[in-house]
Amino acid sequence: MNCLIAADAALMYCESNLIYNNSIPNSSGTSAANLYGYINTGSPGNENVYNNTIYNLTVGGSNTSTSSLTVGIRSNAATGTVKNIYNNLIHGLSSVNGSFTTGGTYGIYSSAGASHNIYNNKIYDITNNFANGTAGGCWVSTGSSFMIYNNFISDIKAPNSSHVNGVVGIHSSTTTANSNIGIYYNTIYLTASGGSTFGSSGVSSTGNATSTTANLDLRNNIIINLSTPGSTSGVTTAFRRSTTSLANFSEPSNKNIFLCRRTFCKQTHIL
Amino acid sequence: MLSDYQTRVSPRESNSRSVTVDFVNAAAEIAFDRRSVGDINLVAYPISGITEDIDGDIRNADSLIKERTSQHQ
Repeated sequence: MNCLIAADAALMYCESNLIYNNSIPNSSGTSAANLYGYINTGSPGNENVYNNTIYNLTVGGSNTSTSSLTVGIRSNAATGTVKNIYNNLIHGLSSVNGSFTTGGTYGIYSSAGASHNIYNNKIYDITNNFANGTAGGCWVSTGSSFMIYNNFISDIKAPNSSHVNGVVGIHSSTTTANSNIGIYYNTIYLTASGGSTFGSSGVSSTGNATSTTANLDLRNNIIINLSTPGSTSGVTTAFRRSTTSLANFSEPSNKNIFLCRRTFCKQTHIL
Repeated sequence: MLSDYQTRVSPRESNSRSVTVDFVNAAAEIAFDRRSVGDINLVAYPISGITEDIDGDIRNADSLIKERTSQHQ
């Protein structure tokens, strides 16, 4: 279900919309059942999505596709697109399906594009009820430049999930060569719990041995993760990286507030 | 421990902190609680190109977080 589809214009604006109370109440089967508040799969030169309020989007039923996506703002544009996604309020999303790396429940999911500018958004109450589901505030992948700042993200949940990274505030999975990710001034507050191997992250990013691949600059964020890890395994962490290499972790990264309830620096790949 | 992490990633994160931050409406649209207003641990360094907070207020190097608004300075 697509609540609002972007026009495929060179200069695209989507602003000041109210999108709410949409649902797929009885999903079933194993094919993806997707629900988007806003979606763009076109090729605008410039995509501007701002001042929108998106809430109460739900997928119920029994669908079990890991590729299912329930997303407030979904942008999957062309490699040259400049994106500006800002001043949006997104809350009350829930689903029964979807898991990393192809599915899940997210406030904002942005992939492809030359420049992703995601700022001043408030995202909360995002829930994935799937057994191995993932939920997140903001997920980005593929692109050359990411600026993610001034966002408030809280109350992200995956209560039945045993995924090792079932809840994330901000997640970057990009491995694009010569790409930069700036994560600044975000406030993330998580209090999730899940199954026996459940884990969570305030910020999660892809490490790389090449410094210019998804180079991450992390500054001035407040990252509070008071989630409960799984009973048999799983880690609650403020900041998670996928590899031990620090090559693409920018040295100016500094002045963050990190606070976790249980574990911090516990596993090799988790900082 | 934060110190272990700082050692591991040095010279990054040398001025990062692990301190309590208080919020109101923690299960919904969060905002800072007045108990965190004035906490010098929450003062951040300026970043070029980001001159305003989420409320549209100007950032500066000396600003503390604001009461009942929604952005870390």
